[in-house]
Amino acid sequence: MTFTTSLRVALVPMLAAALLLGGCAKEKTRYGDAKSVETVTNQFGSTDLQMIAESMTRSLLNSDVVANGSRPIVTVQEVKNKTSEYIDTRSITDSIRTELQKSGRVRFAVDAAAMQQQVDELKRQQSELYEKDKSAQIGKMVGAAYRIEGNITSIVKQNEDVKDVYYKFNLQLWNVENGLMEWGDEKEIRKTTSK
Amino acid sequence: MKRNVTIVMLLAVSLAAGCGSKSPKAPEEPKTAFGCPMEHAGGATMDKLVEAKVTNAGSVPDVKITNLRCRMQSDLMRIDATLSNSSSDVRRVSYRFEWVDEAGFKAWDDESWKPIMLYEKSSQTIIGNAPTRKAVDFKLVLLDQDKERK
Repeated sequence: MTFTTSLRVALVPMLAAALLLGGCAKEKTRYGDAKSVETVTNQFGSTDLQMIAESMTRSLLNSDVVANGSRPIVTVQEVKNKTSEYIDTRSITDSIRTELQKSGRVRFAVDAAAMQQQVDELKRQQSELYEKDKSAQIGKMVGAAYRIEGNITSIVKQNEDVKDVYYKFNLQLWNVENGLMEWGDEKEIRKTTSK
Repeated sequence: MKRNVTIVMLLAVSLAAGCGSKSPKAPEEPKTAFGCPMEHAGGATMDKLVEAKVTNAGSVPDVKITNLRCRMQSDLMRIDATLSNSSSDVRRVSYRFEWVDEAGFKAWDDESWKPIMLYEKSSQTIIGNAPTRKAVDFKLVLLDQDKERK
């Protein structure tokens, strides 16, 4: 057996052992704080979503339309994602809607995305399977007086050492009847990653 | 002797009835956060107000709340708090408000921690708007964001 062969023979089990040990490295799973500041990467993350939703909701609650206590009926339209990355904007508007609903100061009418389900249920209740006086009547739905829409944009700049991302989230409340914008606000976020 | 026993029994019955029907004691100053607005502070200093309203989650060196104001805005509490960084380095902290109702219970779910960057030897004012009319008091919590956590 030459020196090279014996070295090879010794190396193979050592490599196998190293691979095995690597594979067996202990993984830890722990629960964390869902509201903590997340900085794993500088892509859009949970902290951004939470901050935007909270900031927009609190601002809207202080707007004249909502603050006068009339509990306006609102519908949520699309938030356009004009950034270069995938962002679930529906998740942002869902959070905004939930927080507004919880405040008790706004009522929500069914939005375009949920309209088909609403119509299907209304139609289903018109069949002979249901008692007429206990089923929902057609023609009683209430239209929204205001609609919420917005957009999110980003500017990304990068060199060898630094990546800078700037997000701007803009939200508006429009009067459906007269087309006037009744409220608008924006939230800016800057995240920088450096080597 | 018999009369004495009757009196004691009557007293015990009326005491027990009184305890059963008594409603829980209301907070001493409902609808008013201590010292907020400042004219309700009853002569308290800003240091006392900050001490009563601000807590740190762990140690937050170099960063202090130096001014705290609040008022009612559209029936909702609005807080302005000035954070000051006494260090010669940039400091990053995060903060959140905890809203408390009239009976001292939590008035809202946990807010998200909001990161903020403070330039060296500088101040910045943050605004907190209450999410509900039920919130009549608050706590401002600070967390060091420069600290590495496992």
